[in-house]
Amino acid sequence: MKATPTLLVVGRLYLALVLAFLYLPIVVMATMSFNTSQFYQLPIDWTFDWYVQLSSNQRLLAATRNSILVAMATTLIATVLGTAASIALFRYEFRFKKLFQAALFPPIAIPWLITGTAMLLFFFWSGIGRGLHAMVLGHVALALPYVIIVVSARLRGFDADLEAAARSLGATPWQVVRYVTLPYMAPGIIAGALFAFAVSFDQFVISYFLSVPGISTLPVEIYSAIRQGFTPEINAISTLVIAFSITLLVIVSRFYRFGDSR
Amino acid sequence: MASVTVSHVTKSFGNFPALSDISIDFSDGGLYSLLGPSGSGKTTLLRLIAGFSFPNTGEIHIGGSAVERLPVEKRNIGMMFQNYALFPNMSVYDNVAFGLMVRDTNKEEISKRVGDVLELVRLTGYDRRKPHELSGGQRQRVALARAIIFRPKVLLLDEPLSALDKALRLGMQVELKRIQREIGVTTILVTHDQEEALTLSDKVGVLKDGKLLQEGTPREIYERPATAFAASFLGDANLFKGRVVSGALELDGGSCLRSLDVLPEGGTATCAVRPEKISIVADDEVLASDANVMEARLDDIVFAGNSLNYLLHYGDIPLQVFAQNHEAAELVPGQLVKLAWYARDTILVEA
Amino acid sequence: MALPDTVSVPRRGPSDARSAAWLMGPAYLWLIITVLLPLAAMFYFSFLSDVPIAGRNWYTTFSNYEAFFQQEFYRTLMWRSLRLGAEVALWCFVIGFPCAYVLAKTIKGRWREALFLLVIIPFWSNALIRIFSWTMVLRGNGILERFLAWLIPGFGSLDLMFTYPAVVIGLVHSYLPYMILTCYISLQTIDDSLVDAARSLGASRLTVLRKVILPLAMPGIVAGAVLIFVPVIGSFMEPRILGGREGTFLGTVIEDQFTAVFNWPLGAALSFLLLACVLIIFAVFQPILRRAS
Repeated sequence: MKATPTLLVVGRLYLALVLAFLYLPIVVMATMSFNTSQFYQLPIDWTFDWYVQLSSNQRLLAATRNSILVAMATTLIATVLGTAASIALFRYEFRFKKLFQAALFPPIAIPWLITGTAMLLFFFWSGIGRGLHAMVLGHVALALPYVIIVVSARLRGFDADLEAAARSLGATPWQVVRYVTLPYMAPGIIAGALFAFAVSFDQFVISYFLSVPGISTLPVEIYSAIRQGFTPEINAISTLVIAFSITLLVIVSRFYRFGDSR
Repeated sequence: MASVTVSHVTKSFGNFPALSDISIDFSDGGLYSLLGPSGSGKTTLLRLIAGFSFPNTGEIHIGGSAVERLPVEKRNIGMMFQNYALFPNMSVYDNVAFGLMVRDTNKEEISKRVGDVLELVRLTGYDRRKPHELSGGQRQRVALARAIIFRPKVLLLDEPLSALDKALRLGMQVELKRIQREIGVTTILVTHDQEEALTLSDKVGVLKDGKLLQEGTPREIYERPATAFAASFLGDANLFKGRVVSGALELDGGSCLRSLDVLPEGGTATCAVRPEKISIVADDEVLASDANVMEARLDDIVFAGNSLNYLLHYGDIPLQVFAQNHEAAELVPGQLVKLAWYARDTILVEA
Repeated sequence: MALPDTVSVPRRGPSDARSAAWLMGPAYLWLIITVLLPLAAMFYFSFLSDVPIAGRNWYTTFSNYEAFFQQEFYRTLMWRSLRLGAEVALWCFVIGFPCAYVLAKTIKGRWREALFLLVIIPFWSNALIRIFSWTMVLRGNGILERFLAWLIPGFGSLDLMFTYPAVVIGLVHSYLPYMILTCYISLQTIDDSLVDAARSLGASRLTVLRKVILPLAMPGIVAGAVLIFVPVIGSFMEPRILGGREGTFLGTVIEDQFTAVFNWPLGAALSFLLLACVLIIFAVFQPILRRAS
């Protein structure tokens, strides 16, 4: 349907408005993190003070380190396990395959509050305990389905004849994987890994329930800071975190086309 | 180079018998086509020879040694896939070099042989391109170069030309045949396209429902089809079914057809006649003494440029006659016409 | 029927099942330990009178569930949470559908890709921080009020912070990209010629929207609504930050049981009732969700 020029302009204005709605609060927060005044004094008096103060906030620094550690462990484990599972789901036919595929959705679909409290209760009761290792356990469970979905999406376009061709040319099974299968999967695996990192790094709910006083991740620390009382330092660290996660996702999007297969 | 022998091979998938007791000799240096409709087992047979799957029973020999239990990478065969299966992440050079690379050939040797083989398939200068930068015909030639560079004992082609459009296909048929002759490799080609099989091969095997119906040179198969299926799958055929009365085939409408084949006395038989062997003749035309003659009703005339295709029926038997455009007679649908052809063109076939 | 002739490489065999098990085993074992067993444990806990650790006196009971059905308080909470979920999903549809339409049908090529990415990116970025950023906009004498005061001199105070609408605004902001994404995908699959055909038959723009576009986009709309509704009814961080004392929902009460009150069995029972709601919703909309995927 050919829209009239007026309708087109209205449509685009509307789109701009929605984008403004999505980005406005983030921009406001980022701007305020450079403002000397704690109370939104305008016009803005630019300063880096809050960022400087941040660099000496031991609690936030420790939490940042924890976040990165947990995210790296999660990325490594989820990518390896998820890639292996994707290959099995792609290559083999077996009974209950549909069930296995369906089993990936609970970690995504069930509200994190439920999964988080269930993990808290089970880990506490079974002796696994809470802390960074428990967070890794939980984050991997959340990241696995994403890795499998992203890697499987890549594999779906894979022509099984490529492997057959490599074998007919004399390649051993290992050579087939090394020269044909893995290079083909690489963009999917990289996207899956970045996704896993983002999921873990930005995860709040699960980490919140599995943290113990003194051992927490950045989002948990930010949450308790918000609840205890506002300081512009939170603006500063939040701005850094959101800038980081947006950068990460822009990189992911270079490897994985978002709306295509979700 | 080597000959390939398949003896008494059977293969089934679950309860589905894909191949039953197949035996074929593929002669050294020849080009043999396996022709059949989909589901006939031709691709299954090719994959058994390649080593992608293994026969339930029977033996496969390549160059005299039994290979039916060897995996594909140990058989030293070159295979070209229907969609070419070029590695998308590699250049033309790396694709072609792959078979040598996994065989640990040294760099200079690889570079020399890739150059030679690209020259053979007339793609010199394309070595840095990626597969997606090539046309369909070029991809096909890369696939061929890749399959022959390591001098395989056998070259297997799976519907090699089916992905090309018609104009390109004719050119590639000639090219494929030239290269195959030049390197003299035993070649087995799978196709459902009868024209491709007839033009390319030294020998054709017709498969149906997992059985080998007939094999022979393209000319033999076309001129002397052994079964009604082979007759109508390779080209078009008019099929006449009738009773054998004193050495001739008596049809329901009363006409008697003579054949040079010995018809089974007293029983029923089926004969095939190619549409281009039949002529539409004038009532007063003088015919050879051994000609078969019948009157049939003309239903329609299909104009196909260089030829005319007459659709007729005799009783309830539908008939087709092809004629060159230059002899177009003034005929109108609905009229009765007189058909004539030689007894030697009336071929006894299995129903 | 796929005839064996056309099967590219026959792959079935007893060793396949073993290879598959080795490749998939670790991932699924992980999911069992971190998702399935915890949910099972929680189900068990929901029938206990106290946390089963040494020094506590505990026995099995239905009292946690009885509490929910007997006390008005919990039912009101459940109702509030469901209403919040429905309202947020509705607003997301009202705002997101036109946006998805503009994106899918009137913008082409690289621009569309870029804008689409711009819409989707916030969804995957840090949820907590995005909610937090709203406090700066909404709070008294914050950006929104100053802007309105500048626009309309003498404009009074809105006092949006720590109210129900604040929670809705924050949640809509959080989940809007989801609705745009699902609607966009289903709108993209609608052939433009269908719309042209309807127009050529004399339908007005509004009729085309009502009779052609909306029905065809329905799987995407429903998928978006369900995928928003479910996490919203389980939200607790958003109401806490933006709702303050007005932000008491089922999610926040469950959180309290685990982090403040230490009544895990009650928390487990409430979690399970929430999960039951989620499962019912998925079961009801399963056919449409399947079509959407």
